[in-house]
Amino acid sequence: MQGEPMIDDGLGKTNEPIVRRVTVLNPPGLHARPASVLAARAREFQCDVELVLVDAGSGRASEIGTRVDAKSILDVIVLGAAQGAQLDVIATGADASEAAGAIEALFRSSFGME
Amino acid sequence: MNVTRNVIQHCRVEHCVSELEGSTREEVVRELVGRFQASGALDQAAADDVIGRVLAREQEGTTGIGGGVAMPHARACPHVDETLIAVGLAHEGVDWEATDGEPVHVAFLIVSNSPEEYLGVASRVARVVRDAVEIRALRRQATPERIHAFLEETWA
Repeated sequence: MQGEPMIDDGLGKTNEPIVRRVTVLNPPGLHARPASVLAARAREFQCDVELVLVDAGSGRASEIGTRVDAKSILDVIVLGAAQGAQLDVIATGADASEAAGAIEALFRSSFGME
Repeated sequence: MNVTRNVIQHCRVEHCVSELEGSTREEVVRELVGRFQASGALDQAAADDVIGRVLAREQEGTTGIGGGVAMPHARACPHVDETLIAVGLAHEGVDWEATDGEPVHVAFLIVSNSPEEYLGVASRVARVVRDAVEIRALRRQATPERIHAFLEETWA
């Protein structure tokens, strides 16, 4: 989780983190249901997926820089990210690129809900 | 939203239950909302409305998030004047169809008329809930006063 930026995975690739900045678009923010959708999607991937609060938007639930495990519903709820909040999705591992893209797509689609 | 306000201010001693009587998810929700009504925080109509919303939310997907904890909630209740937290302990455990299949021993009910304030309060509750050590300690609090004091210190 707190791994080095560059880790040899033994397959000739390096586990360089993939970082995507995303914005919370849905008006109610990252409450329990979108958190559940997000965590379930993140768990489909082998790599570590973390979220870092970059800008709290209209909300102030967690400190800027708060870093959580995207695969944990509770961790995502802890962020308390309101509409307009900006997060960095940080994926580290073999399928990091796919995971980061999938999570980014979820944010763009407002998790398929209002 | 004023985050410097301690979250305990949303949770009165009268809203803490050291041994829930209800043995089902619906009974527990009704019991905890009943505490809001008994304390005067909600009137009968508001309580009925809140119960309907919380149970409807449970139908959409369980709030039993594993580890023996449930977080039933309703985020946008028009008849609720302030965000309210109730907490109940169930030593026998309640079937909540939790994600991990385990019975629920701690239920945090959050009702609010402000989805934004709800986010902040849920964030603070989740900080406690995700900490297994804190939850074990919370479960040892034998009276409403001790539960309240424990949470006040945790959230300070």
